[in-house]
Amino acid sequence: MNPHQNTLAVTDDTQNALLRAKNITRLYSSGKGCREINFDLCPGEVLGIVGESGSGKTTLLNVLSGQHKPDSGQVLYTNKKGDAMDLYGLSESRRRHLLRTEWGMVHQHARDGLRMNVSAGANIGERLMAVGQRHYGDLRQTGQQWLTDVDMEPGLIDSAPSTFSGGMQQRLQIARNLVTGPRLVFMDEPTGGLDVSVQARLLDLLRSLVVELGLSAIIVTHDLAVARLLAHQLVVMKDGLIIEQGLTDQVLDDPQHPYTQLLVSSVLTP
Amino acid sequence: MTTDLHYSSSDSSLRVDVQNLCKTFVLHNQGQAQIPVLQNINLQVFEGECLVLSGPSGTGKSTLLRTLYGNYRIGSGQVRILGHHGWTDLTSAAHREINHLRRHSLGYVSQFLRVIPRVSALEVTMQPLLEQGENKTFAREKAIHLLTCLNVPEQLWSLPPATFSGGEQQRVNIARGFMLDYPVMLLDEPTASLDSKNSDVVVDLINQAKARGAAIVGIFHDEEVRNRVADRAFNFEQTDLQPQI
Ligand SMILES: Nc1ncnc2c1ncn2[C@@H]1O[C@H](COP(=O)(O)OP(=O)(O)OP(=O)(O)O)[C@@H](O)[C@H]1O
Ligand SMILES: Nc1ncnc2c1ncn2[C@@H]1O[C@H](COP(=O)(O)OP(=O)(O)OP(=O)(O)O)[C@@H](O)[C@H]1O
Ligand SMILES: [Mg+2]
Ligand SMILES: [Mg+2]
Repeated sequence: MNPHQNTLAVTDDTQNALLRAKNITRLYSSGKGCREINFDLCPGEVLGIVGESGSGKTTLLNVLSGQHKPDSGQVLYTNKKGDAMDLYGLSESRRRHLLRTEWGMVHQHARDGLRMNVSAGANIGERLMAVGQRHYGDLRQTGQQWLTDVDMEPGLIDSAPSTFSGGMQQRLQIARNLVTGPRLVFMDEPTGGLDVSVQARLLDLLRSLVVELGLSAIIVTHDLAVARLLAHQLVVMKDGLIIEQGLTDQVLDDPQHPYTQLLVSSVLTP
Repeated sequence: MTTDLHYSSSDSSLRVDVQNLCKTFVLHNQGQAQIPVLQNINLQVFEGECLVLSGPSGTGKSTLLRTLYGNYRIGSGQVRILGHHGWTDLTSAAHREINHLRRHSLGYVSQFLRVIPRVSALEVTMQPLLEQGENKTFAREKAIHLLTCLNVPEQLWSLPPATFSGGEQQRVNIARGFMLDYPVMLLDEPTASLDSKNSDVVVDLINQAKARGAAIVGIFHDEEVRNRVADRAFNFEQTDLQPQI
C-alpha cells in the first residue's frame, strides 16, 4: 500500500465498457418514450432499471438491444473480439445476429420473445443453431436440460408454447435466451407473472450466472429486492427521464429525488 | 487511550480522512423536512487504531459510518479512504470505484445480517473471499475457522441464515466481515446481540485486526467492549475530534 499515491480512479475505466448509452432519445408521436439516457455498463456488471409504469423502461430496452432505432443518440457495444461498434451504424442483419448470438432478450410479454406455434425444443434449438450447433441429439439434450433448469418438465420439449401458461412461457423464454451462454442479457420484468417459488429459483440461477460466469445484464424490475440482490448500479426512471442513478444500495437507502423516496418508502423491506 | 491531536495529513499511516463533512436528509414527501445530521465533521483514522464513535441515540453515528461506506451520499465536504489500490475520494467516486473499494479494502459489519435468500451460512461467509477470486478450499477453511471461533453450531453451516436467531445471524455476519484482512473496517454495534463469551471473541478479532494494521471505526454501546478496543473516541455532541483519556 502506498499512501502517497494520488487519488485515482480504480477501475472506472469506461473505455472498457461493454455497452454505452449516449444521450439516447426515442419518442412516440404522443411525446412519450425515453429521453437523454446516458450510462455505461462494464463486463460482469448488472444494471437495474426501476420506475413507474409508462416511464419508458421497455422503450429504452428495445433501443439498447438493437430493436428500435433511437431518434437521436448512440448505443456503443464492444463485441467478443474486442471491436467497438455503433449499434445503429451496423446493418440490420448484423444487429440481429448480435441479438441471436452474444445477447439475450427476455421480453416483458413472452409472446414477443417466443415463436408460439413451434415446439419448446425448436424455440431453444433455434438459438443454439444460430451459434453453429447442428447435432440433433445434442440440441435436444441441451434443450431438456434447460427446461429442467427453469423448473419445467423436460417432456414438454415437443409442446408448443401457445399451450403453456404465462409463467411457463416466461420460463421458456429465459431458457431460450440463456442456452447460448450470452455475454449480455436484457430482461424486462423477468420474474413478473411467476409464482414465488419459481421466482426464487430463477433469481438463484441469474445470481449464479452473474457471480460465477460474469454475465452482464440490464434488468427492468419493479421489485426493489431483486434490484438490490442483483444490480451493481441502479437507474430510476420517471416520465422518460433518468431522475436518479448510481450505486444500488445508495439509491435505495439514501434516495434524493421525491419520486425515488416515495418508491422506496412504499415497500416494507427493499 | 492516546491524546495525540495534531496529525499532518501527509502522515503515511493515515487511512481515513474526513474533512468538513456535512449531511442533511431532505424528506420530500414529508413537507420537505430537513434533518441536518452531520455538521462539519473532521476526523482522521490511522493504521492500527480503533476510533470509537460515541454519543446519544440519533446523533448520527450510524449515518457517519454509512457515509464512510458509500451507502449514504456525502452532502458536502470530503471523505477519502486509503485501500490497497490507493486513495478513493468518496465525494467524487463512481459506483464502480466504490464497489471496488468495498470488495478489496473496506469492510463493514452492521448490526444485522442482510441475508441472501437460499444461500447457506457457510457460503455467505465464504463470499467475500470468493469475490476476490480466492480458491474455494481456502475460503472454506477460513470460513469454518471463523464460524467455529464464533461458536456458530456446525449443524447450522449448511442452512440459509434466514431462520437463525438474532445472535446467530450476527455471528455469521461478523465471520463474514472478518474473512478478509481489510485495511479499513467499519463496525456498527457488532456485539449488540451477543453474549459475553461471543463478545470476547469479537474483541479478540478486532484487536488482531488492529495488530495487523487495520484502521477501524466502530460504534459499541457496551462500555466494557468499547474500553477494550478503543484507542480514541469521537463524541457526537461535539463537532470536532475529542480525544479522551
Ligand atoms: N408503440 C407505441 N406507440 C405509441 N406510444 C407508445 C408505444 N409504446 C409505448 N408507448 C407509450 O410510451 C410510454 C412508455 O412506454 P413503455 O412501454 O416504455 O413503459 P414502461 O416503463 O415499460 O412501463 P411498464 O412498467 O408499464 O411496462 C407509455 O406512455 C406508452 O403508452
Ligand atoms: N436514510 C435516512 N433518511 C432519513 N433520515 C435518516 C436516514 N438515516 C438516518 N436518518 C436520521 O438521521 C438521524 C441520525 O440517525 P443515526 O442512525 O445516524 O443515529 P445513531 O447515532 O446511530 O443512533 P443510535 O445510537 O440510536 O443507533 C436520525 O434522526 C435518523 O432518523
Ligand atoms: Mg414495460
Ligand atoms: Mg446507530
